[in-house]
Amino acid sequence: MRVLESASQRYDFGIRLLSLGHIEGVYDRVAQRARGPEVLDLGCGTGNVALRLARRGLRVTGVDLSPEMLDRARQKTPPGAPIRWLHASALELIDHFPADSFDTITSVLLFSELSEAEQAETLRQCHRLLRADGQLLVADEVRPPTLARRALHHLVRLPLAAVTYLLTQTSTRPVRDLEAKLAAAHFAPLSREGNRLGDFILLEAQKQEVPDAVAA
Amino acid sequence: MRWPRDLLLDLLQTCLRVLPWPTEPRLIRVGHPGREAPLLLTGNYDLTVRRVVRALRGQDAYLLVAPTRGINVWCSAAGGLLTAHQVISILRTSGISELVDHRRLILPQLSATGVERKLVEQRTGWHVVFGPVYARDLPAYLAEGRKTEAMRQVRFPLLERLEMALAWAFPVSVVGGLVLAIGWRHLLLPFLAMVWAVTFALYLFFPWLPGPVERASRPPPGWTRYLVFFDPTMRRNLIVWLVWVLGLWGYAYGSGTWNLKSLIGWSLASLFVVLLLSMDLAGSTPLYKSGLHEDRLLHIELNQEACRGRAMCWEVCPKNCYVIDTARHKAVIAEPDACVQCGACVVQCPEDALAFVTPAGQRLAPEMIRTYKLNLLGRRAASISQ
Ligand SMILES: C[S@@+](CC[C@H](N)C(=O)[O-])C[C@H]1O[C@@H](n2cnc3c(N)ncnc32)[C@H](O)[C@@H]1O
Ligand code: SF4
Ligand code: SF4
Repeated sequence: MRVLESASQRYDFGIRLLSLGHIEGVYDRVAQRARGPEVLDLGCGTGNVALRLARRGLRVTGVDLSPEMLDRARQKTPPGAPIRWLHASALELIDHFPADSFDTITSVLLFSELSEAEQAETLRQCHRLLRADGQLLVADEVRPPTLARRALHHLVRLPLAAVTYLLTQTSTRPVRDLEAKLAAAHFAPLSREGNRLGDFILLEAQKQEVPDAVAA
Repeated sequence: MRWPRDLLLDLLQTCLRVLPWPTEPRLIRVGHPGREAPLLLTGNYDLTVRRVVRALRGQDAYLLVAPTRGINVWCSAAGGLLTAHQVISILRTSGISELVDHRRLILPQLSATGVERKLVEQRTGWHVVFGPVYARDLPAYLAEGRKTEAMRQVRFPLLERLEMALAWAFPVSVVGGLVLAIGWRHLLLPFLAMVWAVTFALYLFFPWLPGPVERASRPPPGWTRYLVFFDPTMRRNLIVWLVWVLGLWGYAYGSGTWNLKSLIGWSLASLFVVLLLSMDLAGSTPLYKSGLHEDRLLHIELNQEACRGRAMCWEVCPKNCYVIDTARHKAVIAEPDACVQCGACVVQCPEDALAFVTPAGQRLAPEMIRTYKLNLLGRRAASISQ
């Protein structure tokens, strides 16, 4: 969703409009489920999830690749809130944090912006940064499971996608097989919520220990 | 046989060049690369990837395709989509570190405005060098191990100008053609002829038409930013239009066939097409900064004290603005007027000796250019003009 990002001031308004208001509920649910006390919000954007987490009193780190989005997040941060913002890529987490740094990692609408290889590497780094039994919360656009729903999805999304494409010259790419990817990265599923169309899910998973031979 | 498919794709993607054509970021093996094979990188714009692979035919090399959202190297670097982060990403996800014994990564020179070399080197241990601007110079560069002045310079040769003409004429024909096909069928052929004639004339004669108003000393008045369709500093387009209209009226006069109404109609229609083409004429060429950015009012300032003659600026400048005084170990800006404000030198200078200065004399910190790039999509441009 480049157009929203490039104009970070308009991002919050735009994403609410595009999601027909549903996105607020997603932010709320993700923020409520996070266990803490130490949380990383990955691809934090303008800080919608991170700020909610901080309001609950959790210690939050927001990481994003876009300096403009982070500027906006900083503007929205009330003085004294327990948040630090970091300009970095999801693939550079290991450069900034030691292993076992966080109890929870949240990530909303980030994976759909990453390539297949980047998704796998990001999950690997998340695994490393989480403490034992740490929690992963991922919400994103996904490819609907059945052909019929996929057709319906395209019908609904096509006009939107066309407009986004014309304005931004980029298209978003729903994530494929997100659950399988989490499992492959040694996360055990805890819960799963989807919308009716099956093109958006919120997954909660737990870090599983990996035998040393595999971890290396 | 792959080439018929490649040829068709080339043609399609050239015609629809205004759209991004992403291909999956990955590692490509060219020939039979061994553990000492050179490592190159490009963005994931499909057309470029195919061209680089073709240019490397006969070589043994590795090519990394970085995630730049299907945008070409220069545009993505200037727009913040090809930065140190995307380079680090593909270095880490491709597994290349296990495949070669050396640690030397060759980036396209035009990525220098986006990719902070220092950051890549610190994070990954890879040594970064900026290779030639054009893929076709890669074999010579790999054989020689160094760049000539010609390899560092951007150009706008005939072939590229024709591609650009195609990239504009095609979408304009399709959109205009569809509209006319609804109710003005008889105008369709003359319209298409007009579009292709004007577009190709513009790009074919581009080098010989008078250029933009060079180096304005003051920013243009604020309201000009609403002239979305018209870049007020480019005169080439209007000259092409004038010649076209004169030809049209001359022909009508000579043959005595057309009436005044259709003459005026066609003159206006062609003016519209010309304005559409000049929407970003400067930005459609590699020679100028997009006419719609006020960045082009910036000029480079060199702090002689800080400069240590490390020649990074000289290595990355696509307009060969710099010469290095090897006796004094200092850079000299020999061609200040050739500068296209790409920012590559500012981003790469290891001593922070270079900076952009606004017409009002304000110095923009190099760190700010490194973080936000030049194209702040309007936001910082606004503060420059104030
Ligand atoms: C669609 S926005 C979602 C923002 C926020 N999570 C929300 O839901 O409001 C996607 C965000 O991911 C960020 N992003 C994209 N690629 C990234 C990467 N490799 N590492 C970190 N952040 C990235 C973008 O800068 C952008 O802010
Ligand atoms: S890169 Fe900087 S330090 Fe090096 S020669 Fe150029 S201006 Fe001087
Ligand atoms: S001198 Fe101008 S053209 Fe050359 S690298 Fe610097 S900004 Fe780019």
